[in-house]
Amino acid sequence: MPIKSKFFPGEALQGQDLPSHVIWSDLKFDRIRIVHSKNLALKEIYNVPCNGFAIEENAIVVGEIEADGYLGLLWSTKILHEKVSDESIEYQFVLNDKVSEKLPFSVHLFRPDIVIGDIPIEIVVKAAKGEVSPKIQISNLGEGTAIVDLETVPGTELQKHHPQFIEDFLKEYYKEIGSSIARLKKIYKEHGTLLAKLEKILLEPFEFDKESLKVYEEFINEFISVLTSNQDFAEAIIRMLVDAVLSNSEFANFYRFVSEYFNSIGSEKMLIRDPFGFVSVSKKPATLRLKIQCVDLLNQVCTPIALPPIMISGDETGEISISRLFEWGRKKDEP
Amino acid sequence: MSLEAISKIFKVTDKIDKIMLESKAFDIRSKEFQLKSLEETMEYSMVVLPKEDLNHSQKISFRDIDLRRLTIISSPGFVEAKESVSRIEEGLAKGFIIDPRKLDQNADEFLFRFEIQTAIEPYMKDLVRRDHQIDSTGDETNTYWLHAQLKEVRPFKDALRKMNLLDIPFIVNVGIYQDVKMKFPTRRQKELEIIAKWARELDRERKRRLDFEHISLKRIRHREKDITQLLRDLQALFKPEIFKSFVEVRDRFYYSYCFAGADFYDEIPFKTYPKWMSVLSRTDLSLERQASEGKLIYKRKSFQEAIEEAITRK
Repeated sequence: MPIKSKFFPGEALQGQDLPSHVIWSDLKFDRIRIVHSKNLALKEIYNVPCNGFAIEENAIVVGEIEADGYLGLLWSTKILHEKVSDESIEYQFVLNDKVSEKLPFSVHLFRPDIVIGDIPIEIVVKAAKGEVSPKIQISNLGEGTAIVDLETVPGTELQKHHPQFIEDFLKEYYKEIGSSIARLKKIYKEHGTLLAKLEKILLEPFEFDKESLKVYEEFINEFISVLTSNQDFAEAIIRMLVDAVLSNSEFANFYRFVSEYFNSIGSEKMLIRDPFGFVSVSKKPATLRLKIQCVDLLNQVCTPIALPPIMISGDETGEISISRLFEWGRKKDEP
Repeated sequence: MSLEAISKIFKVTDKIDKIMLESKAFDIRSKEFQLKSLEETMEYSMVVLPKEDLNHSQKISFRDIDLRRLTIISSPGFVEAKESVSRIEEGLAKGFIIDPRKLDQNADEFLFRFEIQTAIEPYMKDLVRRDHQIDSTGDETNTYWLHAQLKEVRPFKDALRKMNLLDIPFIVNVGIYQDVKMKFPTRRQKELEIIAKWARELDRERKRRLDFEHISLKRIRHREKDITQLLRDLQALFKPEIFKSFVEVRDRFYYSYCFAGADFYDEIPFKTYPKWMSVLSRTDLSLERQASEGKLIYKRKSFQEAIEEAITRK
């Protein structure tokens, strides 16, 4: 068998780069022709000189290999209109216009697909019991994970806030993180810049705009790279994060935090970014305007959804988590 | 990008070559190079032939290279020539000195192995393209593909007989949140909420109502496991020594370690249970095996069963 190894991913999130390779020995060919569907584009090619390949419509022709026996490639994909798509690609080793080896592959590309179903005009909240009726229906019809952010529109009547115990928790948490990072900077001087970035990320949670997400992604890549190579440093960071929470006096109400852990997970691969985002309710109806944003696990932003105004009232004065106004996932009888 | 790493590597190896050649004692026959991620070392080896009568050779000094170790093996016999290598410790100047006169005069050839202490990750980053599946689908198992490939081959193939990049690290965040949520019964979530509310409630009447609600809930299922014990047993599943049994790394990759993953997506950093487990796996690349593929399998069904057991087992 002249082909020693071949690889192309079987599934991936739309927008992810797809690596691929072929390793061979004793194989005669004068070019490698790669025929690909239009949703795949060549991003990088390894072991091929700059002028050793040509790009044609939905095809790449490799005429020269630097060191015989290996071709490495990286393909880019993009977010598609369809929530799932199966793309095909074929590597053909050609000698004297005849295909001597044919390597077909296909990849299943998917993404999250957040859809809002029923939107009530009016919602009534039983604040003490935390009961809400009717609810706004939110579903993820796609196969990808979605991190969902629920925000109130600035300048409108009801505004998102955090309950007092969370405010107290954060105050103490920020103080602890600040002093822990200062201590770590003295120990791990070589990672001072990274620690400064980590401090910024922890103390100023990122927004869901493209610029912030880009900064965040760059930070995560750098952070993972350092954690991978320095286990001591990795353990010190994890310990710091855990200690900053466990030593917090507000964390005494552990059950509340565990409870919110479950509340932050919706069904259908939806994660709620801030289950502690609350709005006030009273007997007097007030207008709530919500904006729903989401990102996938590559930090790619989905199209934001603005909901029409909803009147919120309660049986008594209190507050309710915004995420509780939603029914997460399709109803049982839905497809 | 990879050119930077290549020039850095050759800067070190050229320096060693230069010292060896200037000594005029040896002929370099072949060179091998290794980057070892786990040991954080760069290893440069060469097979050399004695050029002249080693009894008349000068001492060879290796300074200004961050050498951790220098080993010489003579052949035939494969005996380590410990007595011919000595360490220099003169103030800040560190290094090694070789005394060729103490080498086996009857040896046909020698293997010189230079171990250089350095941060390996920047080299790996430049030389290797690493990719893995970010999001996975599947009910019983979630499979994440892993892939590593060399960005450059030719410069190394031209200069070296062998090159190995060993234990190249990969971190994959395995999503476990849906399984924890799915297997944690709704009524126990309700119980958590009641206890949480009860702890913060200052109004006596409301507190009494919550008390009643909790007791009613417990009365229906009085044999159920205590919630505090349940939460503790659940926590144990995320310990690396336990969680590792729910992942399997296959093909040309191997499992190295796992830990509860950080979650920066959360606006409020409430750290109770992880939503992700970070799994560290590793692979090797060489000039003969320029790319490597593997699979990380998360055994969802087994993990769900373990959660169920942690929730119900007394």
